[in-house]
Amino acid sequence: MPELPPMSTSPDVLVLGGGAAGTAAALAARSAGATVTLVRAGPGATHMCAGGWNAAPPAPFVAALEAAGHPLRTAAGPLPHPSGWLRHDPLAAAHHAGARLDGGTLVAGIAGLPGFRAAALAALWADAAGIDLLRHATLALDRTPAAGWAPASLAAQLEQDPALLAAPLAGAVKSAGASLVIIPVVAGFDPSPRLLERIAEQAGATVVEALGMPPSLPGLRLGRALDAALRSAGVEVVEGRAALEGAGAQTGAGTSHAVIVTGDGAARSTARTIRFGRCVLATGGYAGGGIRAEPELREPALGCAVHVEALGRLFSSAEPLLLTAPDRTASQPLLEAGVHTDGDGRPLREDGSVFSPDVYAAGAVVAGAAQRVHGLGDAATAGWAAGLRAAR
Amino acid sequence: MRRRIQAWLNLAYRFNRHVLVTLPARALRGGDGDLFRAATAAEGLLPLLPAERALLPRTMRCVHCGLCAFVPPPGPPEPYSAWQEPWTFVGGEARALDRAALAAGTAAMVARAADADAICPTGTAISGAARMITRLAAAAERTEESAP
Repeated sequence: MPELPPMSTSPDVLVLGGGAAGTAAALAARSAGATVTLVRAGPGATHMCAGGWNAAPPAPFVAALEAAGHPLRTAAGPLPHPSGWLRHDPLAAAHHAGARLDGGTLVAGIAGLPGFRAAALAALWADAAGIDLLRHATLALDRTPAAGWAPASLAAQLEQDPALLAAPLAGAVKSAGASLVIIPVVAGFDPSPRLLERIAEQAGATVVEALGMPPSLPGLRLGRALDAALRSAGVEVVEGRAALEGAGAQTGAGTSHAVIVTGDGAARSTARTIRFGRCVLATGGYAGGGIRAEPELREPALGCAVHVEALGRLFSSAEPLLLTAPDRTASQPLLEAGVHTDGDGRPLREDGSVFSPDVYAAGAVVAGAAQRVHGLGDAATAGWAAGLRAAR
Repeated sequence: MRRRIQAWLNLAYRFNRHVLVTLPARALRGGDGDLFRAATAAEGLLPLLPAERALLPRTMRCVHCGLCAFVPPPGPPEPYSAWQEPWTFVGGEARALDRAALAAGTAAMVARAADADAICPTGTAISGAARMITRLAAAAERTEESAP
């Protein structure tokens, strides 16, 4: 890929959002030879992922992740989730992909770690997989705080001292005669599975992680890998919140666009204007910060009209009783709120006209996407396609 | 006639008792609201300040994504529990919280919450919730100490 001049203030393609869709769009546009600036406000829905990929993303995107030390692998079987069910993702991060449920599998929990009860999960996973009961063990680690472990704290401790887990795990493996151990997601923050491999080596068995749940270490690892992929592709990354300059004005093809990027925290007082040719909006849905409810529902970056797909109408104000379903496991209309797009993925105005011929939307910011795009693979695929369109 | 006199006498007695005993006693011991607060405060249930009540809707934006859990705690990486993670007290605010466990990590919790505000994708008032929880924890502790 061609080298970018530092701190480009007028890229060919501006990408808003740094999750799976936004990063894929930036890498795709870059691979097509465009200069790309990516603006992101912080971690979003991608950083909450469980570790599985619901579909295979484009091969160059997978290669970029591999080069960033975060390989995706074909799942050995249904992937166990700490909620007690199995997910049938075709791909997963290498930390999780090797999980399989059979007679040689040991489910190992950690005393004091919330959200992973080995005995219950072994029974639930065995039931879901239609096999006899899985063996299970709960490991007591040294230095466990009186009130139990925070997952992030345990991950930090294991990065310094893998033997903290490997030593009791070796004992459990020996007494159970297990060939594969499924542990909760605690093997460090690094995108690569090196720490897990070290623990496995010391424990004397293959060790894999179950899928994760918030607070999501798989999401943090993926975020770091996406970061590295953007850097190595020469994409300029700007931290801050973007807002369209002159929002609400009619924008035609070829007209000049600009966003004002305001930093967060200490950099809040600094603002920067970025002019761009085309833009990919991939800021995520409500959970990712791309749709705000303050209390009116709005899309803060470009000011696109927000729809709630499940209710079939445009929403200018949030009505909590309509936007949330009492059944917490049901699809939540608020999480489905987003922009409507035409056949080419361009956001539409309230009257159905195209917001701008130079703007494309991808990922969870598209209304109803959270229901349709139930995973990273589809988000990255949509982002990649939007990035190529924008660079065309 | 006799019953009517009894009724009038009873009414006069009740009126006098209300004016001479009940009202002064209430003025001395406080109103019903004070009585209610005294009874509930002993159980650690303390009233919120007006500013805290105004803040509550912003704390309800939390979708329990857990991103704030990765805001590093201040100081060296000592082992810590989930009670010191912002998402525990924001997500669990409406539930029964072990305020004593929260209070044990008060300083770290408040310091992390300020940084967590910046990372929260839904704009949840994490630092405000942290201050509220720590105030309630400290007040409940004082109430327990002064309880007979």
